[in-house]
Amino acid sequence: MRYGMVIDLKKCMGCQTCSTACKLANNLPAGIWWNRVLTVGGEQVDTARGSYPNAELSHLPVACQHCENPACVKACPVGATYKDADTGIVRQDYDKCIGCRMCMSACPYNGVRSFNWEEPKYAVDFSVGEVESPAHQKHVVEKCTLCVGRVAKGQKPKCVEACAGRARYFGDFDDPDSEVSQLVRAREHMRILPEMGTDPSVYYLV
Amino acid sequence: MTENTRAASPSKASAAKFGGRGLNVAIAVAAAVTVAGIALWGMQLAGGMMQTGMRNLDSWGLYITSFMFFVGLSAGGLIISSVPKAFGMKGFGGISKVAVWTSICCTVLAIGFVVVDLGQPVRLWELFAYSNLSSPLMWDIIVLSTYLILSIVYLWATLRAEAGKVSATALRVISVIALVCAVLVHSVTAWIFGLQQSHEFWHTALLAPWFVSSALVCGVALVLVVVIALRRAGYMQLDQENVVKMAKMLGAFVCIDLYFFGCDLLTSAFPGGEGAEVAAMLVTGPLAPFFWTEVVGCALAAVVCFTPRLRTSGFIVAASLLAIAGIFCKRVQLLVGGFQLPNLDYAGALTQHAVTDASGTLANAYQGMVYWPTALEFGVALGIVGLGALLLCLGFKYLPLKPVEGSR
Amino acid sequence: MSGTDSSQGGLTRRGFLKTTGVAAGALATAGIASQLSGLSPDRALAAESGEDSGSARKKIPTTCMGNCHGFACPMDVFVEGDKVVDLQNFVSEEHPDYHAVCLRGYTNIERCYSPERIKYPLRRTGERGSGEFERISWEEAIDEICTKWKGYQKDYGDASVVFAKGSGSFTATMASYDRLRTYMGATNFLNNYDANGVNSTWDHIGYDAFCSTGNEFRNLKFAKKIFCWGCNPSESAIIAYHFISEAQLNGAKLYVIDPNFTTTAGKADAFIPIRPGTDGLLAIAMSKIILRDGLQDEDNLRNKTVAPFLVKEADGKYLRLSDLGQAEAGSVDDKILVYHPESGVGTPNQVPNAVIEGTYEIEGHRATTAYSLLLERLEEFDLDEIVETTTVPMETVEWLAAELMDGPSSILTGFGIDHYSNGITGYINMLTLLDISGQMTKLGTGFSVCDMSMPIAQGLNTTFWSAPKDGKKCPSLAGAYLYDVVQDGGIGEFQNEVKSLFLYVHNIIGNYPERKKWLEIFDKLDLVVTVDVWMSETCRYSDIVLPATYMWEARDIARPNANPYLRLMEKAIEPQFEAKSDFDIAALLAEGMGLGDKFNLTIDEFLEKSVDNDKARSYGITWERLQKEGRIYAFREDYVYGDEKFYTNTGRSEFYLEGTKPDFDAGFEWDVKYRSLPYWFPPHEAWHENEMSEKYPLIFTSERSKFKVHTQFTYVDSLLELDPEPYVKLNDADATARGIEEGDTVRLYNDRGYVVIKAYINPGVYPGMVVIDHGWQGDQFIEGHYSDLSASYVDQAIPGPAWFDCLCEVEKVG
Repeated sequence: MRYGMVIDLKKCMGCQTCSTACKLANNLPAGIWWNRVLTVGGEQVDTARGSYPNAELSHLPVACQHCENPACVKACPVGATYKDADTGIVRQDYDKCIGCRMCMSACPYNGVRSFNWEEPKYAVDFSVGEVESPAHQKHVVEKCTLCVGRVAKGQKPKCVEACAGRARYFGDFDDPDSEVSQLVRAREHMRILPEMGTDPSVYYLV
Repeated sequence: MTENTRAASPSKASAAKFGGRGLNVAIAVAAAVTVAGIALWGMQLAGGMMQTGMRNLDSWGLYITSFMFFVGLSAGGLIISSVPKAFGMKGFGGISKVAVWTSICCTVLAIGFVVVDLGQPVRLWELFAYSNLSSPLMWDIIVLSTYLILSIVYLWATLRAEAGKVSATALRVISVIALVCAVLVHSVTAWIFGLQQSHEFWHTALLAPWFVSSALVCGVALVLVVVIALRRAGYMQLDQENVVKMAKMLGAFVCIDLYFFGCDLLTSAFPGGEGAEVAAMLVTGPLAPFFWTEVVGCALAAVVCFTPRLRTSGFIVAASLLAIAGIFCKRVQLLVGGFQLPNLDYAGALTQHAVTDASGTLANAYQGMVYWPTALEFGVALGIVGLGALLLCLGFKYLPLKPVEGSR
Repeated sequence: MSGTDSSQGGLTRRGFLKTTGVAAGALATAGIASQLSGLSPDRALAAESGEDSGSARKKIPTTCMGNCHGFACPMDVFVEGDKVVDLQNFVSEEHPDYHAVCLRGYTNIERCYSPERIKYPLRRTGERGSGEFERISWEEAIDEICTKWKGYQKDYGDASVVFAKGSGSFTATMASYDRLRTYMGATNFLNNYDANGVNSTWDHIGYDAFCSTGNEFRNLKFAKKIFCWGCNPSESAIIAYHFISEAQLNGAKLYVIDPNFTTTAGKADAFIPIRPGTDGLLAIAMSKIILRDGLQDEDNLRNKTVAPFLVKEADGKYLRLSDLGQAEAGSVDDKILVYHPESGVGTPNQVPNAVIEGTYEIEGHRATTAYSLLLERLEEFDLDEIVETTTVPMETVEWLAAELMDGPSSILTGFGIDHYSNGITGYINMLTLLDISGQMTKLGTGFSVCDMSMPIAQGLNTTFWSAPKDGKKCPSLAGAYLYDVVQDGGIGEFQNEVKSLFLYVHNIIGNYPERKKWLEIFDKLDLVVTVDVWMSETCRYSDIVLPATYMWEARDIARPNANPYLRLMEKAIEPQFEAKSDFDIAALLAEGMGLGDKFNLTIDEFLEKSVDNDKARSYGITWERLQKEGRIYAFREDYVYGDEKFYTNTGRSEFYLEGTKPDFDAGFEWDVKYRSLPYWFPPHEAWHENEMSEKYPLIFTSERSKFKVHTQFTYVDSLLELDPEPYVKLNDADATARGIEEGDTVRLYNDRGYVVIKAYINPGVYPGMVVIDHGWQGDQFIEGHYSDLSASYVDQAIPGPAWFDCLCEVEKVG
């Protein structure tokens, strides 16, 4: 299996619902965002580039790309980041991570990995989100798990379920009949930084 | 950064009178600095690495820079002493043991810098329990450990050989292995960076040989500084002829290193595109001070080394320090430069975890150097350098490193 | 930021769970437990013991709440112990169109447990705005309020107490405050938010119980052209934006007409920049082009609009049967007349092919068709002048008109246009354009006004409670005139002194234009009482502050807007602190006012009665079923508004308004003839020909930001991470001219006030305009307040606040 995601950029309006839903589901500490919606435009979120009125503005949601050939997995000296052979999900074992940040440096998709630079802090003083959401640890690296706990229960990742623009699709790219495989066949698509050779499992419909 | 390194360089300690009060004071000072460093490290672990300048988008800093730098420094000594033995050439007088001891100290320092960079140092044991052999960092840990052990064995063998307990052939075999290991150490350290396709600046095949050449530059420079200082302090005798020989070598290595730099810059910049951004970042961008310090410093060092009239002890020490400073600047450029050009530079949520300066836009965060160490990092780094100085001094005090008549 | 080691389960799961191992592959073989790497121990044990992972959690149906596009999006919350720990959007397999929760919705747990919550009743001890309060008991609070209210009502009349409802929350129990007001005879404050757009649209096409305004969003999926006009749905209508993108994927074209290049413009097929405040003129120009080319839809005009209705020249009223002596004036039978040369005059039913043009002499009455009057009115506008004023080139106007005619075309607007003092002109002229083009009553055509065009679930009726028959008649006061009343003791139709303001679901200081006037009003009033969940700016300036429960802390039914499901808001957790529900607060106040016997229902009895009506029954709604299922589908299938009829007095689309009056009579001059037909006048202040623009050349506006709903969600930590501080966006040309660079601190100012704020350059901003996201509160600005800039001037036709009708200048600070 190769679980992955398709994101329809024609439907993505940059609303960041995926970001906050992910933050809740995974009980992410303050300052940590596994899923970020980037503005392809000016230097500030949601601002345009170009010159009036010929401006340009769109959005690109980016989280771990769950690559088939992940740069991070090779780089980790202790195997704390690893690729699950059965699902294709690239995972991170917080208990094993030594905090060397090789994976962060090796990953071409800047910012999809977060290091807890301090003891995690939270907006509310109890755990929220999915029952399966892992306890966060100081000084280890973390990132999108493709909501592995939800997926194991047969649910979609939270960002897919929550996407208000209905732009996200989840499924198995090894299954030619899956919705994601069909979408990629039917529509023009791209992947981010394909030249890095990481073979990401997140496809963007353009 | 340069100033700190210089101030803390081992030459300070070796200027003391051997076995005398000076050395004891140096040992005490170094020990105090070390203890202070450890205390700061404790602070870093307890209060969190938020206290450093490192963040998600610039996830390595002064520690890894210093790691690269000290791995390089450690090379020179071993190579200087092992090359002549390995190839059966006439050496540089009796500096061999001092050079190897310097190497050992630098290697310990380098390892120390990796350790303080770890978020979870108590999990270090996992490196041995769960070794992932595809990781260049794992390779480096293996090679660096081997290198440290070999250096110690080599030092021990040299001492035993002087005592006639180890044959010259055996010593020669050990020296060949040590030499290979030294070259490997620098290559593998380079591969930690060079095998990452994610950083345009790092991803070049030239990086490994370049690391070796840089290691030779600063290694030889350090040995020069140390031996000239030790000679002046009366610890050892050394013919000026040998010093000049080493100075010439330094000059040659400096030229090779600059040549590599030139090749790399040209290859990057020529096609334009992202590579040109790398060149611009170095030559005129945020890293320009480090670039020009390196280029000018190394060029001046080469001039001193190749101009007979300038090859006085004072000038040679100055040239060596310039070369060392230049290579340190090189390390800064490499490390910070690797993070200075993000692959995805689109605006997004900027939190305190993302970049050091999260107060404005992403472009703002990258306007100057994306990373600059905090006082805590300088303190911890100084502590580690103190540890190196302590080891060095202890070596001079307790180990028989003085040249023995007839040794080479 | 109160997270600590222990409360978050800082122990690692090592020792509790076996590690996932160096290599992958655990997932398939070891089942769920091995996937739970990194769980906190309690959770991991629960998961390993084979329990359903959610079994310790109670799933409770409730909603989000805010005055946004969804009003109250249905969601389930999960309660563990006494805390809400998770939430998910309600997904309906059967009716999935409207179900989503937006980015804000997912932060509701933070809002529920926010440190900004008001914990106890508070009495002001310091200066207004100082934030100095003392804790008092509910008894003290109610006693003080009611004693004073009784005194004011005795000395200054019932109307001296003003109930000022805002738009922060929409639930069934809001009826309790209306009930209290009615029994007290207190003044009803009309906040008139978005009223320029809403009221004028209702005047023109009527109010539909299913969707309030025009066509609901599902209709957009069938459009071939979507004219997104003065509206940015990708930020303001997040949960419904998919209708637009789906239409685009089906081949529809999206055209954005806006001064600013918005996030929606980024996704559009064309962006048509327009001078602010001139949208109505562009609509007139497009109408004129269509008429010039003879492309008007006469069938539509004849059958769906008032076009054929004969208007008497003498008084501007329709010619009716009573004018011919054939019916009693004002009776149901007194039908409006139309004309055809062959069949003569008659009702539209009698004369199906009535003429739509011409002036006729009919039994002594000189009468002209409404359409001819419209054409005359349109004649007053010159195309070339419009091109110059709107800055939309002639070829673009012609292209827009042609694209509109190549329908089905829908106009999707919001309240950007509303926020100028001439806002009304945008809506009446866009609607007239649709009347003329015939893009109104067919699938995929029509007029949608953002959240007012979302479906309304049927079956909730609280009028039995809000408007008791034995209640008093309460006078109304348009909010924009309260300042004049406080200054002068009255204005126009409202002549009474005002002594006390009672604010609920309302942060008026943070939201109304010209804040300083509101501070003056507060200072002049004897008692300001505010009920809120969080410490808003208004609370800080109030005399007594009462803590309301969060939406998950009391039972209620959501106002049925914006969703086809009737939604129970189940009580998920106990009220925190001393917070009380609005239902209980109203009852306590009633008790204090001696009206306790009028508030004799329990909350459950009230809710049960609210859904005990024929409409509810026709959708199978019962109180039992609602409690059991949490939400019940109560809506009709796709339909097109106006297909059958318009819910107007005439049953038609009314580009001509008979005998129109101002919404609130402030006593100013009123020109009925002028106001009966489409018209346009420039904004009062934000106009380049205004003298003031020499000193203050920039138009200051605020815009809907996805991170806030008015001043709600303003202090949510997660959202502040995404959008940390207020900033002004300005065009690069305007920035350069003032030496302003990206990230500089700037001061926006005019004669009314100033605000100091960061500046970001955005080439998408209309040159000559500066924009600050709406919803920040005073303490978040570096200095000053953006609402100090805006002006309180309103057009008296509909006194809706005109936030955007504001000029200012910007300078770099330091």
